Amino acid sequence: MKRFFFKHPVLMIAFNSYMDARHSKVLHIAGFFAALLILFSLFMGEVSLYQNEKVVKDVGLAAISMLGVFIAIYLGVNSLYRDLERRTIYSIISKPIGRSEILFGKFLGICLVLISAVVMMSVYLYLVTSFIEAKIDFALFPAIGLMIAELLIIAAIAIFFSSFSSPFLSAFFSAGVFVIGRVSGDLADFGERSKNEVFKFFATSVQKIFDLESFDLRARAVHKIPIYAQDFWYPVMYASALIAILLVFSHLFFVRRDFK
Amino acid sequence: MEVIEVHGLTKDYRQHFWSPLRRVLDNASFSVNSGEIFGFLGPNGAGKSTTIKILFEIIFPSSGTAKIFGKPVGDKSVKSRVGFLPENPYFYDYLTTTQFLEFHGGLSGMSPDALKRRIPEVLELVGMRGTKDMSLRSFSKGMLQRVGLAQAIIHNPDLVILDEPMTGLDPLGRREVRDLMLHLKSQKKTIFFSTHILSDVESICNRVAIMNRGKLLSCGSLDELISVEVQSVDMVWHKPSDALKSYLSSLGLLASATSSSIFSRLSRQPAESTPEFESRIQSVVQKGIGLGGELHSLSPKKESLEDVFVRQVGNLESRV
Repeated sequence: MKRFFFKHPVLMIAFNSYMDARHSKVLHIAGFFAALLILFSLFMGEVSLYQNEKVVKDVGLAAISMLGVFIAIYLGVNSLYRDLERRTIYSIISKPIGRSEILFGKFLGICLVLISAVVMMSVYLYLVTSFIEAKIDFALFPAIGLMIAELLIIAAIAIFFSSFSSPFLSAFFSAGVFVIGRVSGDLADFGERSKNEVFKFFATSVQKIFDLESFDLRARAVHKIPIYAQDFWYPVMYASALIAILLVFSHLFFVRRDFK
Repeated sequence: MEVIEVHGLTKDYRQHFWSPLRRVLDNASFSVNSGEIFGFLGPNGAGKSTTIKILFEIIFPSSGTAKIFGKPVGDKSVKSRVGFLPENPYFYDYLTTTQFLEFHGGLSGMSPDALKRRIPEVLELVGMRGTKDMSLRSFSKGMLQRVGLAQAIIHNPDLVILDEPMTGLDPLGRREVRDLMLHLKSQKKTIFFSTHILSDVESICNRVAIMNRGKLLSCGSLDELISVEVQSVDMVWHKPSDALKSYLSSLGLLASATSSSIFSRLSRQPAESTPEFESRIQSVVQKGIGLGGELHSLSPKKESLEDVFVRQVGNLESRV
Protein backbone atom coordinates (compact mmCIF):
# COMPACT_ATOMS: atom_id res chain seq x y z
CA MET A 1 0.00 0.00 0.00
CA LYS A 2 2.70 2.47 1.12
CA ARG A 3 4.87 1.57 -1.86
CA PHE A 4 2.01 2.43 -4.20
CA PHE A 5 1.74 5.95 -2.78
CA PHE A 6 5.53 6.38 -2.94
CA LYS A 7 5.33 6.08 -6.73
CA HIS A 8 4.48 9.75 -7.28
CA PRO A 9 4.51 12.91 -5.13
CA VAL A 10 0.88 13.58 -6.10
CA LEU A 11 -0.12 10.22 -4.62
CA MET A 12 1.87 11.00 -1.48
CA ILE A 13 0.11 14.34 -1.05
CA ALA A 14 -3.23 12.60 -1.68
CA PHE A 15 -2.52 9.90 0.87
CA ASN A 16 -1.36 12.49 3.39
CA SER A 17 -4.51 14.58 2.87
CA TYR A 18 -6.60 11.45 3.31
CA MET A 19 -4.80 10.61 6.57
CA ASP A 20 -5.13 14.21 7.75
CA ALA A 21 -8.91 14.11 7.14
CA ARG A 22 -9.19 10.78 8.92
CA HIS A 23 -8.00 12.52 12.09
CA SER A 24 -10.58 15.29 11.83
CA LYS A 25 -13.00 15.26 14.76
CA VAL A 26 -15.48 17.38 12.79
CA LEU A 27 -15.80 14.67 10.14
CA HIS A 28 -16.20 11.94 12.75
CA ILE A 29 -19.04 13.85 14.37
CA ALA A 30 -20.71 14.50 10.99
CA GLY A 31 -20.43 10.78 10.15
CA PHE A 32 -21.92 9.85 13.51
CA PHE A 33 -24.96 12.08 12.93
CA ALA A 34 -25.48 10.71 9.41
CA ALA A 35 -25.34 7.15 10.81
CA LEU A 36 -27.83 8.16 13.50
CA LEU A 37 -30.17 9.61 10.87
CA ILE A 38 -30.06 6.39 8.83
CA LEU A 39 -30.85 4.40 11.97
CA PHE A 40 -33.67 6.78 12.80
CA SER A 41 -35.14 6.19 9.31
CA LEU A 42 -36.08 2.69 10.52
CA PHE A 43 -38.56 4.29 12.91
CA MET A 44 -39.75 6.75 10.25
CA GLY A 45 -40.40 3.78 8.00
CA GLU A 46 -42.47 2.09 10.70
CA VAL A 47 -44.97 4.97 10.72
CA SER A 48 -45.31 5.07 6.92
CA LEU A 49 -48.00 3.18 5.07
CA TYR A 50 -46.45 0.07 3.47
CA GLN A 51 -43.44 2.21 2.42
CA ASN A 52 -41.08 1.06 5.14
CA GLU A 53 -38.13 0.00 2.99
CA LYS A 54 -38.51 2.94 0.56
CA VAL A 55 -38.45 5.47 3.39
CA VAL A 56 -35.32 3.89 4.87
CA LYS A 57 -33.53 3.93 1.51
CA ASP A 58 -34.67 7.43 0.61
CA VAL A 59 -33.74 8.94 3.97
CA GLY A 60 -30.54 6.88 4.03
CA LEU A 61 -29.39 8.11 0.62
CA ALA A 62 -30.31 11.68 1.54
CA ALA A 63 -28.25 11.38 4.75
CA ILE A 64 -25.26 10.05 2.81
CA SER A 65 -25.60 12.85 0.28
CA MET A 66 -25.82 15.49 3.04
CA LEU A 67 -22.78 14.05 4.78
CA GLY A 68 -20.90 13.95 1.49
CA VAL A 69 -21.73 17.57 0.63
CA PHE A 70 -20.58 18.62 4.10
CA ILE A 71 -17.30 16.71 3.75
CA ALA A 72 -16.69 17.99 0.21
CA ILE A 73 -17.16 21.63 1.20
CA TYR A 74 -15.43 21.32 4.58
CA LEU A 75 -12.33 19.60 3.18
CA GLY A 76 -12.37 21.51 -0.09
CA VAL A 77 -12.19 24.89 1.60
CA ASN A 78 -10.00 23.85 4.56
CA SER A 79 -7.49 21.43 3.12
CA LEU A 80 -5.34 24.01 1.34
CA TYR A 81 -6.11 26.80 3.78
CA ARG A 82 -5.02 24.83 6.84
CA ASP A 83 -1.71 23.95 5.22
CA LEU A 84 -1.16 27.63 4.46
CA GLU A 85 -2.34 28.79 7.86
CA ARG A 86 -0.27 26.25 9.80
CA ARG A 87 2.57 26.73 7.31
CA THR A 88 2.91 22.99 6.82
CA ILE A 89 3.04 23.80 3.13
CA TYR A 90 6.43 25.53 3.55
CA SER A 91 8.33 22.31 4.08
CA ILE A 92 6.32 20.55 1.35
CA ILE A 93 6.83 23.25 -1.27
CA SER A 94 10.59 23.16 -0.65
CA LYS A 95 10.62 19.62 -2.02
CA PRO A 96 10.85 18.88 -5.76
CA ILE A 97 7.12 19.13 -6.27
CA GLY A 98 5.13 21.71 -8.20
CA ARG A 99 2.22 23.72 -6.90
CA SER A 100 -0.11 22.09 -9.41
CA GLU A 101 0.90 18.68 -8.05
CA ILE A 102 0.11 19.83 -4.51
CA LEU A 103 -3.28 21.11 -5.66
CA PHE A 104 -4.10 17.95 -7.58
CA GLY A 105 -2.85 15.77 -4.71
CA LYS A 106 -5.11 17.63 -2.29
CA PHE A 107 -8.06 17.10 -4.61
CA LEU A 108 -7.27 13.40 -4.97
CA GLY A 109 -7.03 13.11 -1.18
CA ILE A 110 -10.48 14.65 -0.78
CA CYS A 111 -11.79 12.27 -3.46
CA LEU A 112 -10.39 9.34 -1.44
CA VAL A 113 -12.11 10.61 1.70
CA LEU A 114 -15.42 11.15 -0.11
CA ILE A 115 -15.38 7.76 -1.80
CA SER A 116 -14.47 6.02 1.47
CA ALA A 117 -17.17 7.89 3.39
CA VAL A 118 -19.89 7.17 0.80
CA VAL A 119 -18.88 3.51 0.47
CA MET A 120 -18.81 3.03 4.25
CA MET A 121 -22.13 4.77 4.75
CA SER A 122 -23.68 2.79 1.87
CA VAL A 123 -22.55 -0.49 3.42
CA TYR A 124 -24.06 0.73 6.68
CA LEU A 125 -27.31 1.63 4.85
CA TYR A 126 -27.46 -1.87 3.34
CA LEU A 127 -26.93 -3.33 6.81
CA VAL A 128 -29.78 -1.23 8.18
CA THR A 129 -32.10 -2.16 5.30
CA SER A 130 -31.28 -5.82 5.90
CA PHE A 131 -33.52 -5.53 8.96
CA ILE A 132 -36.43 -4.97 6.56
CA GLU A 133 -35.51 -6.94 3.44
CA ALA A 134 -33.08 -9.81 3.17
CA LYS A 135 -31.56 -8.87 -0.20
CA ILE A 136 -29.14 -6.35 -1.66
CA ASP A 137 -30.93 -3.73 -3.73
CA PHE A 138 -28.60 -3.23 -6.71
CA ALA A 139 -30.86 -0.48 -8.03
CA LEU A 140 -29.23 1.90 -5.54
CA PHE A 141 -25.79 1.47 -7.10
CA PRO A 142 -26.19 4.00 -9.97
CA ALA A 143 -27.67 6.54 -7.52
CA ILE A 144 -24.69 6.08 -5.20
CA GLY A 145 -22.27 6.29 -8.14
CA LEU A 146 -23.71 9.58 -9.36
CA MET A 147 -23.79 10.86 -5.80
CA ILE A 148 -20.03 10.35 -5.67
CA ALA A 149 -19.60 12.14 -9.02
CA GLU A 150 -21.66 15.08 -7.75
CA LEU A 151 -19.59 15.24 -4.56
CA LEU A 152 -16.37 15.34 -6.55
CA ILE A 153 -17.74 18.33 -8.49
CA ILE A 154 -18.58 20.09 -5.21
CA ALA A 155 -15.08 19.34 -3.88
CA ALA A 156 -13.57 20.79 -7.09
CA ILE A 157 -15.75 23.89 -6.74
CA ALA A 158 -14.63 24.30 -3.10
CA ILE A 159 -10.96 23.85 -4.08
CA PHE A 160 -11.43 26.39 -6.87
CA PHE A 161 -12.78 29.04 -4.49
CA SER A 162 -10.21 28.23 -1.80
CA SER A 163 -7.40 28.74 -4.32
CA PHE A 164 -7.96 32.50 -4.05
CA SER A 165 -10.31 33.30 -1.15
CA SER A 166 -10.83 32.68 2.58
CA PRO A 167 -12.46 29.48 3.93
CA PHE A 168 -15.62 31.33 4.98
CA LEU A 169 -16.19 32.91 1.59
CA SER A 170 -15.17 29.70 -0.19
CA ALA A 171 -17.69 27.68 1.84
CA PHE A 172 -20.37 30.30 1.23
CA PHE A 173 -19.78 30.36 -2.54
CA SER A 174 -19.48 26.56 -2.78
CA ALA A 175 -22.72 26.00 -0.87
CA GLY A 176 -24.37 28.63 -3.05
CA VAL A 177 -23.25 26.94 -6.27
CA PHE A 178 -24.43 23.58 -4.91
CA VAL A 179 -27.91 24.91 -4.06
CA ILE A 180 -28.24 26.69 -7.40
CA GLY A 181 -27.02 23.54 -9.18
CA ARG A 182 -29.57 21.41 -7.38
CA VAL A 183 -32.45 23.68 -8.43
CA SER A 184 -31.00 24.45 -11.85
CA GLY A 185 -33.98 22.80 -13.61
CA ASP A 186 -36.53 24.91 -11.76
CA LEU A 187 -34.36 27.98 -12.27
CA ALA A 188 -34.26 27.31 -16.02
CA ASP A 189 -38.07 26.94 -16.07
CA PHE A 190 -38.42 30.29 -14.32
CA GLY A 191 -35.96 31.77 -16.76
CA GLU A 192 -37.94 30.49 -19.77
CA ARG A 193 -41.08 32.18 -18.45
CA SER A 194 -39.35 35.37 -17.40
CA LYS A 195 -39.60 38.49 -19.53
CA ASN A 196 -36.32 39.76 -18.10
CA GLU A 197 -33.74 38.81 -20.69
CA VAL A 198 -30.84 39.06 -18.23
CA PHE A 199 -32.47 36.67 -15.78
CA LYS A 200 -33.42 34.35 -18.63
CA PHE A 201 -29.82 34.25 -19.82
CA PHE A 202 -28.50 33.71 -16.27
CA ALA A 203 -31.01 30.93 -15.46
CA THR A 204 -30.45 28.98 -18.64
CA SER A 205 -26.65 29.40 -18.42
CA VAL A 206 -26.62 28.09 -14.86
CA GLN A 207 -28.51 25.01 -15.95
CA LYS A 208 -26.02 24.40 -18.73
CA ILE A 209 -22.94 24.89 -16.51
CA PHE A 210 -23.98 23.63 -13.08
CA ASP A 211 -26.65 21.07 -13.74
CA LEU A 212 -26.45 19.00 -10.56
CA GLU A 213 -30.07 17.84 -10.79
CA SER A 214 -29.12 15.17 -13.29
CA PHE A 215 -26.95 13.57 -10.59
CA ASP A 216 -29.94 12.92 -8.35
CA LEU A 217 -31.18 9.43 -9.20
CA ARG A 218 -32.31 8.79 -5.62
CA ALA A 219 -36.08 8.86 -6.20
CA ARG A 220 -35.83 6.75 -9.36
CA ALA A 221 -33.62 4.19 -7.65
CA VAL A 222 -35.84 3.93 -4.57
CA HIS A 223 -39.09 3.76 -6.53
CA LYS A 224 -37.66 1.27 -9.06
CA ILE A 225 -38.12 3.60 -12.05
CA PRO A 226 -35.80 2.33 -14.81
CA ILE A 227 -32.39 4.01 -15.07
CA TYR A 228 -30.78 3.83 -18.49
CA ALA A 229 -27.09 3.78 -19.28
CA GLN A 230 -27.11 7.35 -20.60
CA ASP A 231 -28.73 8.55 -17.36
CA PHE A 232 -25.54 7.45 -15.65
CA TRP A 233 -22.76 7.97 -18.18
CA TYR A 234 -23.73 11.41 -19.48
CA PRO A 235 -23.57 12.97 -16.00
CA VAL A 236 -20.30 11.11 -15.35
CA MET A 237 -18.75 12.59 -18.52
CA TYR A 238 -20.13 16.01 -17.66
CA ALA A 239 -18.66 15.70 -14.13
CA SER A 240 -15.24 14.74 -15.54
CA ALA A 241 -15.20 17.74 -17.87
CA LEU A 242 -16.42 20.20 -15.22
CA ILE A 243 -13.89 18.94 -12.64
CA ALA A 244 -11.06 19.24 -15.17
CA ILE A 245 -12.06 22.82 -16.01
CA LEU A 246 -12.38 23.76 -12.32
CA LEU A 247 -8.96 22.28 -11.51
CA VAL A 248 -7.33 24.11 -14.41
CA PHE A 249 -8.74 27.44 -13.18
CA SER A 250 -7.76 26.59 -9.57
CA HIS A 251 -4.24 25.91 -10.81
CA LEU A 252 -4.10 29.29 -12.58
CA PHE A 253 -4.88 31.10 -9.32
CA PHE A 254 -2.87 28.84 -7.01
CA VAL A 255 0.33 28.77 -9.04
CA ARG A 256 1.00 32.55 -8.73
CA ARG A 257 -0.29 33.02 -5.20
CA ASP A 258 1.99 34.31 -2.43
CA PHE A 259 1.87 32.09 0.65
CA LYS A 260 2.38 34.75 3.31
CA MET B 1 31.51 28.52 -6.80
CA GLU B 2 28.38 30.45 -5.89
CA VAL B 3 25.55 28.29 -4.57
CA ILE B 4 23.02 31.09 -3.98
CA GLU B 5 22.99 34.25 -6.08
CA VAL B 6 20.54 37.00 -5.22
CA HIS B 7 20.41 40.16 -7.37
CA GLY B 8 18.29 43.23 -6.65
CA LEU B 9 15.62 41.26 -4.85
CA THR B 10 12.66 43.44 -3.97
CA LYS B 11 9.31 42.52 -2.48
CA ASP B 12 6.31 44.79 -2.06
CA TYR B 13 3.36 43.58 -0.03
CA ARG B 14 -0.17 44.80 0.13
CA GLN B 15 -1.92 43.85 3.39
CA HIS B 16 -5.34 44.11 1.72
CA PHE B 17 -6.11 44.91 -1.86
CA TRP B 18 -7.15 48.42 -0.80
CA SER B 19 -4.11 49.13 1.39
CA PRO B 20 -0.95 50.76 0.00
CA LEU B 21 2.07 48.74 -1.04
CA ARG B 22 4.71 48.25 1.64
CA ARG B 23 8.31 47.42 0.71
CA VAL B 24 9.59 44.58 2.89
CA LEU B 25 12.65 43.74 0.83
CA ASP B 26 14.57 46.45 -0.95
CA ASN B 27 17.05 45.66 -3.69
CA ALA B 28 18.96 42.97 -1.77
CA SER B 29 21.97 41.39 -3.48
CA PHE B 30 24.36 38.84 -2.07
CA SER B 31 25.84 35.46 -2.80
CA VAL B 32 26.66 32.35 -0.82
CA ASN B 33 29.70 30.27 -1.73
CA SER B 34 29.92 26.51 -1.85
CA GLY B 35 30.92 24.78 1.38
CA GLU B 36 30.51 27.77 3.68
CA ILE B 37 28.24 28.49 6.63
CA PHE B 38 26.51 31.75 5.87
CA GLY B 39 24.72 33.64 8.65
CA PHE B 40 21.80 35.86 7.77
CA LEU B 41 21.39 38.42 10.53
CA GLY B 42 18.81 41.03 11.31
CA PRO B 43 16.15 42.06 13.78
CA ASN B 44 12.51 41.00 13.44
CA GLY B 45 10.96 42.36 10.26
CA ALA B 46 14.35 42.86 8.62
CA GLY B 47 13.38 40.80 5.57
CA LYS B 48 15.30 37.60 6.34
CA SER B 49 12.32 35.23 6.14
CA THR B 50 10.98 37.07 3.09
CA THR B 51 14.27 36.42 1.29
CA ILE B 52 14.23 32.76 2.31
CA LYS B 53 10.60 32.40 1.19
CA ILE B 54 11.55 33.77 -2.22
CA LEU B 55 14.34 31.19 -2.46
CA PHE B 56 11.64 28.48 -2.27
CA GLU B 57 9.00 30.31 -4.31
CA ILE B 58 6.73 30.39 -1.27
CA ILE B 59 6.33 33.99 -2.34
CA PHE B 60 7.39 35.67 -5.57
CA PRO B 61 9.66 38.73 -5.82
CA SER B 62 8.30 42.03 -7.13
CA SER B 63 11.61 42.44 -8.94
CA GLY B 64 15.10 40.98 -8.96
CA THR B 65 16.32 37.44 -9.42
CA ALA B 66 17.40 34.58 -7.21
CA LYS B 67 19.31 31.54 -8.38
CA ILE B 68 20.42 28.38 -6.62
CA PHE B 69 23.15 26.25 -8.19
CA GLY B 70 22.96 28.62 -11.15
CA LYS B 71 19.33 27.76 -11.92
CA PRO B 72 16.04 29.54 -11.20
CA VAL B 73 14.86 28.80 -7.65
CA GLY B 74 11.67 26.93 -8.62
CA ASP B 75 13.52 24.35 -10.68
CA LYS B 76 12.81 20.80 -9.44
CA SER B 77 16.42 19.69 -9.99
CA VAL B 78 17.47 22.52 -7.66
CA LYS B 79 14.90 21.66 -5.00
CA SER B 80 16.07 18.06 -4.84
CA ARG B 81 19.51 19.35 -3.77
CA VAL B 82 18.21 21.73 -1.11
CA GLY B 83 16.90 21.09 2.41
CA PHE B 84 14.75 23.60 4.27
CA LEU B 85 13.69 24.15 7.85
CA PRO B 86 11.01 26.86 8.09
CA GLU B 87 10.73 29.24 11.04
CA ASN B 88 8.53 27.89 13.86
CA PRO B 89 7.71 24.76 11.91
CA TYR B 90 4.38 23.01 12.35
CA PHE B 91 3.94 19.54 10.97
CA TYR B 92 1.12 17.01 10.71
CA ASP B 93 1.07 16.02 14.35
CA TYR B 94 -0.77 12.71 13.92
CA LEU B 95 2.30 11.27 12.18
CA THR B 96 5.04 9.38 13.97
CA THR B 97 8.62 10.50 13.44
CA THR B 98 9.19 7.67 10.95
CA GLN B 99 6.00 8.41 8.99
CA PHE B 100 6.89 12.10 8.95
CA LEU B 101 10.37 11.47 7.60
CA GLU B 102 9.04 8.92 5.10
CA PHE B 103 6.61 11.54 3.82
CA HIS B 104 9.25 14.24 3.39
CA GLY B 105 11.90 11.85 2.10
CA GLY B 106 9.39 10.40 -0.35
CA LEU B 107 8.54 13.87 -1.64
CA SER B 108 12.26 14.39 -2.16
CA GLY B 109 12.31 11.34 -4.40
CA MET B 110 13.77 8.78 -1.98
CA SER B 111 12.69 5.17 -2.26
CA PRO B 112 11.20 3.30 0.74
CA ASP B 113 14.38 1.17 0.94
CA ALA B 114 16.67 4.21 0.96
CA LEU B 115 14.51 5.80 3.65
CA LYS B 116 14.70 2.70 5.79
CA ARG B 117 18.48 3.08 5.88
CA ARG B 118 18.58 6.86 6.13
CA ILE B 119 15.99 7.54 8.87
CA PRO B 120 18.00 6.05 11.79
CA GLU B 121 21.06 8.00 10.58
CA VAL B 122 19.37 11.41 10.57
CA LEU B 123 17.60 10.75 13.87
CA GLU B 124 21.01 10.02 15.36
CA LEU B 125 22.40 13.22 13.83
CA VAL B 126 19.69 15.46 15.30
CA GLY B 127 19.77 13.73 18.68
CA MET B 128 16.36 12.09 18.33
CA ARG B 129 17.37 8.45 18.52
CA GLY B 130 14.65 6.32 20.10
CA THR B 131 11.77 8.52 18.94
CA LYS B 132 11.01 6.82 15.63
CA ASP B 133 7.64 5.49 16.75
CA MET B 134 6.61 8.51 18.78
CA SER B 135 3.83 10.78 17.58
CA LEU B 136 4.81 14.36 16.76
CA ARG B 137 1.85 15.42 18.92
CA SER B 138 3.80 14.41 22.01
CA PHE B 139 6.88 16.47 21.09
CA SER B 140 8.09 19.66 22.75
CA LYS B 141 8.92 22.70 20.63
CA GLY B 142 12.60 21.82 20.72
CA MET B 143 11.93 18.25 19.61
CA LEU B 144 9.78 19.51 16.73
CA GLN B 145 12.62 21.79 15.74
CA ARG B 146 15.00 18.83 15.66
CA VAL B 147 12.64 16.60 13.71
CA GLY B 148 12.21 19.54 11.34
CA LEU B 149 15.97 19.60 10.91
CA ALA B 150 15.85 15.86 10.23
CA GLN B 151 13.39 16.36 7.35
CA ALA B 152 15.61 19.12 5.98
CA ILE B 153 18.61 16.79 5.69
CA ILE B 154 16.86 13.46 5.09
CA HIS B 155 17.69 13.48 1.35
CA ASN B 156 21.34 14.42 1.95
CA PRO B 157 21.07 17.85 0.27
CA ASP B 158 24.07 19.90 -0.89
CA LEU B 159 22.56 23.11 0.45
CA VAL B 160 20.67 23.42 3.74
CA ILE B 161 18.63 26.56 4.39
CA LEU B 162 17.49 27.04 7.98
CA ASP B 163 15.16 29.84 9.05
CA GLU B 164 15.82 30.59 12.73
CA PRO B 165 16.96 27.04 13.57
CA MET B 166 17.82 27.92 17.18
CA THR B 167 14.31 29.07 18.06
CA GLY B 168 12.82 27.08 20.91
CA LEU B 169 16.02 25.23 21.70
CA ASP B 170 17.68 25.19 25.10
CA PRO B 171 21.45 25.88 25.34
CA LEU B 172 22.26 22.20 24.89
CA GLY B 173 19.97 21.94 21.88
CA ARG B 174 21.56 25.03 20.36
CA ARG B 175 24.96 23.50 20.85
CA GLU B 176 23.80 20.33 19.10
CA VAL B 177 22.44 22.29 16.15
CA ARG B 178 25.72 24.20 15.90
CA ASP B 179 27.60 20.89 15.95
CA LEU B 180 25.25 19.54 13.29
CA MET B 181 25.97 22.52 11.06
CA LEU B 182 29.71 22.01 11.53
CA HIS B 183 29.23 18.32 10.75
CA LEU B 184 27.39 19.19 7.54
CA LYS B 185 30.11 21.65 6.64
CA SER B 186 32.72 18.94 7.13
CA GLN B 187 30.77 16.94 4.54
CA LYS B 188 31.22 19.85 2.07
CA LYS B 189 27.61 20.98 2.42
CA THR B 190 26.64 24.64 2.26
CA ILE B 191 24.58 26.05 5.10
CA PHE B 192 22.57 29.25 4.95
CA PHE B 193 20.76 30.18 8.12
CA SER B 194 18.98 33.16 9.60
CA THR B 195 19.21 33.97 13.27
CA HIS B 196 19.12 36.62 15.97
CA ILE B 197 21.70 34.84 18.08
CA LEU B 198 24.97 36.58 17.35
CA SER B 199 27.18 34.27 19.39
CA ASP B 200 26.14 31.33 17.18
CA VAL B 201 27.04 33.29 14.07
CA GLU B 202 30.35 34.40 15.51
CA SER B 203 31.34 30.88 16.45
CA ILE B 204 30.49 28.97 13.25
CA CYS B 205 29.93 31.28 10.27
CA ASN B 206 32.41 31.94 7.50
CA ARG B 207 30.45 34.89 6.18
CA VAL B 208 27.47 36.92 7.28
CA ALA B 209 24.97 39.37 5.88
CA ILE B 210 23.22 41.94 8.05
CA MET B 211 19.78 43.17 7.10
CA ASN B 212 17.50 45.81 8.51
CA ARG B 213 14.15 47.14 7.29
CA GLY B 214 14.40 45.16 4.09
CA LYS B 215 17.83 46.47 3.16
CA LEU B 216 21.11 44.61 3.10
CA LEU B 217 23.46 46.65 5.28
CA SER B 218 26.62 44.62 4.88
CA CYS B 219 27.87 41.28 3.68
CA GLY B 220 31.24 39.66 4.07
CA SER B 221 33.49 37.50 6.20
CA LEU B 222 33.66 38.14 9.93
CA ASP B 223 37.20 39.50 9.50
CA GLU B 224 35.95 41.99 6.94
CA LEU B 225 33.07 43.17 9.10
CA ILE B 226 34.70 43.17 12.51
CA SER B 227 37.60 45.52 13.07
CA VAL B 228 40.76 43.69 14.18
CA GLU B 229 42.04 46.76 16.00
CA VAL B 230 41.66 47.34 19.73
CA GLN B 231 38.62 49.49 20.39
CA SER B 232 38.98 49.97 24.15
CA VAL B 233 41.03 48.92 27.18
CA ASP B 234 39.67 47.89 30.56
CA MET B 235 41.86 48.79 33.54
CA VAL B 236 41.52 47.55 37.10
CA TRP B 237 43.39 49.57 39.79
CA HIS B 238 44.00 48.29 43.31
CA LYS B 239 44.22 50.41 46.47
CA PRO B 240 43.23 53.60 44.62
CA SER B 241 44.11 56.99 46.06
CA ASP B 242 41.59 59.85 46.05
CA ALA B 243 43.83 61.65 43.56
CA LEU B 244 43.60 58.71 41.13
CA LYS B 245 39.82 58.60 41.53
CA SER B 246 39.56 62.31 40.77
CA TYR B 247 41.91 61.99 37.79
CA LEU B 248 40.02 59.09 36.18
CA SER B 249 36.72 60.73 36.98
CA SER B 250 37.79 63.99 35.33
CA LEU B 251 38.62 62.04 32.13
CA GLY B 252 35.27 60.27 32.26
CA LEU B 253 36.94 56.87 32.55
CA LEU B 254 35.64 55.82 35.95
CA ALA B 255 33.22 52.96 35.37
CA SER B 256 32.86 51.68 38.93
CA ALA B 257 34.74 51.95 42.20
CA THR B 258 34.90 50.22 45.58
CA SER B 259 37.07 51.07 48.57
CA SER B 260 39.72 48.56 47.38
CA SER B 261 39.59 48.84 43.57
CA ILE B 262 38.56 50.88 40.56
CA PHE B 263 37.36 49.67 37.20
CA SER B 264 37.93 52.08 34.34
CA ARG B 265 37.47 51.87 30.56
CA LEU B 266 39.33 53.88 27.97
CA SER B 267 37.62 53.88 24.57
CA ARG B 268 39.12 54.73 21.22
CA GLN B 269 37.94 57.99 19.65
CA PRO B 270 36.20 57.71 16.25
CA ALA B 271 39.07 59.11 14.18
CA GLU B 272 41.91 58.07 16.45
CA SER B 273 44.77 56.10 14.89
CA THR B 274 46.30 53.09 16.61
CA PRO B 275 49.57 54.88 17.61
CA GLU B 276 47.57 57.82 18.97
CA PHE B 277 45.35 55.50 20.99
CA GLU B 278 48.33 53.54 22.33
CA SER B 279 50.03 56.76 23.36
CA ARG B 280 46.87 57.88 25.18
CA ILE B 281 46.71 54.53 27.04
CA GLN B 282 50.36 54.87 28.03
CA SER B 283 49.84 58.41 29.28
CA VAL B 284 46.81 57.43 31.44
CA VAL B 285 48.64 54.44 32.90
CA GLN B 286 51.78 56.44 33.74
CA LYS B 287 49.77 59.27 35.28
CA GLY B 288 47.68 56.77 37.29
CA ILE B 289 50.76 55.03 38.67
CA GLY B 290 52.22 58.44 39.44
CA LEU B 291 49.11 59.23 41.49
CA GLY B 292 49.71 56.18 43.66
CA GLY B 293 47.56 53.68 41.76
CA GLU B 294 48.45 50.01 41.54
CA LEU B 295 47.51 48.71 38.09
CA HIS B 296 46.12 45.20 38.61
CA SER B 297 45.13 44.43 35.03
CA LEU B 298 44.87 46.01 31.59
CA SER B 299 42.71 44.18 29.01
CA PRO B 300 42.45 45.32 25.39
CA LYS B 301 38.98 44.81 23.84
CA LYS B 302 38.35 44.26 20.16
CA GLU B 303 35.06 44.84 18.36
CA SER B 304 32.53 41.99 18.53
CA LEU B 305 29.88 41.04 16.00
CA GLU B 306 27.36 42.43 18.45
CA ASP B 307 29.09 45.82 18.28
CA VAL B 308 28.96 45.70 14.48
CA PHE B 309 25.32 44.61 14.55
CA VAL B 310 24.28 47.35 16.98
CA ARG B 311 26.28 49.94 15.07
CA GLN B 312 24.68 48.98 11.76
CA VAL B 313 21.14 48.20 12.82
CA GLY B 314 21.03 51.06 15.30
CA ASN B 315 18.62 51.71 18.08
CA LEU B 316 15.05 50.51 18.40
CA GLU B 317 13.53 53.65 16.85
CA SER B 318 15.42 53.12 13.64
CA ARG B 319 14.02 49.62 13.36
CA VAL B 320 10.33 50.39 13.89
